[in-house]
Amino acid sequence: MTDKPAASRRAITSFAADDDLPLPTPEQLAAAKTAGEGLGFRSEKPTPAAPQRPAPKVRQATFTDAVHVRCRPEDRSRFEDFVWRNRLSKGDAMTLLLDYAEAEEQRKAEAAK
Amino acid sequence: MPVITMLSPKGGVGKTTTSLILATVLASKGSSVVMIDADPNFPLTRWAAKDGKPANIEVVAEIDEDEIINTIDAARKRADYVIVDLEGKASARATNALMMSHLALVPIQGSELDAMEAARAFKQIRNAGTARQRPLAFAAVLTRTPASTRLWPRDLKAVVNNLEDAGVPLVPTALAERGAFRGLFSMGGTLDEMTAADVGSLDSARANANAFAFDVVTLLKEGLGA
Repeated sequence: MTDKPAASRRAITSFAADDDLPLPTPEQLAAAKTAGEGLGFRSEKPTPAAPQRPAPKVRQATFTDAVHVRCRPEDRSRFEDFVWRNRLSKGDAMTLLLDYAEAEEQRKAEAAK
Repeated sequence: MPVITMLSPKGGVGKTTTSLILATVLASKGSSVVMIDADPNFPLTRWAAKDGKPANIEVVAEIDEDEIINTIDAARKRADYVIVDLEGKASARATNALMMSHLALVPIQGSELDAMEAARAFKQIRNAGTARQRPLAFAAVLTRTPASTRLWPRDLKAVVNNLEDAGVPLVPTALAERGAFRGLFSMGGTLDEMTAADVGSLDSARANANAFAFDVVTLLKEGLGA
């Protein structure tokens, strides 16, 4: 505003004797930052990426084939009871039964000699 | 040494012009000034690259929001005044600069939109003062006003009344819309080096700049409890 008299402004004060502001502590900076974020004064730095979680181990499939067996109802019941009693999967039960059958087959073959 | 920060979340309100006018007047009185150019467009750095920059003005570009604290700390140890010119945007850079400041100035043009954005700046200045447990002196600066108060539009007068009602201090001298102030950026140098052939109303511009700088220094003394 030019209405103000243009007096000499020579007496610019020296502030040499004033104490300096101390450097803000991390807690003070965090408090100011938090308060500022509510007003839109947000950081422009990208937030650091969260550490990656270890990838879950992929379980390899054991029983990759399937067989459809027509059987008597009582045999199916016996098979399922056997599986349940021995806490086996049906695939493991089948392996076991084949092992027994082949061992018996071999035993009979040796007995016939 | 005193640190003066210019901020406003809105661009184009006159932060950089106000910073440069203040710095050149202080430098012309013999003070050493470090201007921290914290605007990613680096307008002050470009001004400094032109001829006519006084030897006692140093311009430092710094846009890192964390590093600006150390940059201000180093500057205040080697200069009589440090002026931080922020970009027209709300950012954590502004928050950190406020934490290191003795005086915050919020330039406002005479519009309701500017005043609304300035209100956010005033709140953040108060937040910074609370966080550092030491109040931060602040004031609004009217920029690009008509040279005579008689020509001030109703909008501008309403903004001034609202600031007074809200208890926001106002730098008594407004910075008028002047070709000499714009010329600082196109021609480089200071108002002292311009001639009447370069721009019109040069004496009025110099008087305006001097009166403004005097008011700022007075505010600074009051803010520092002097």
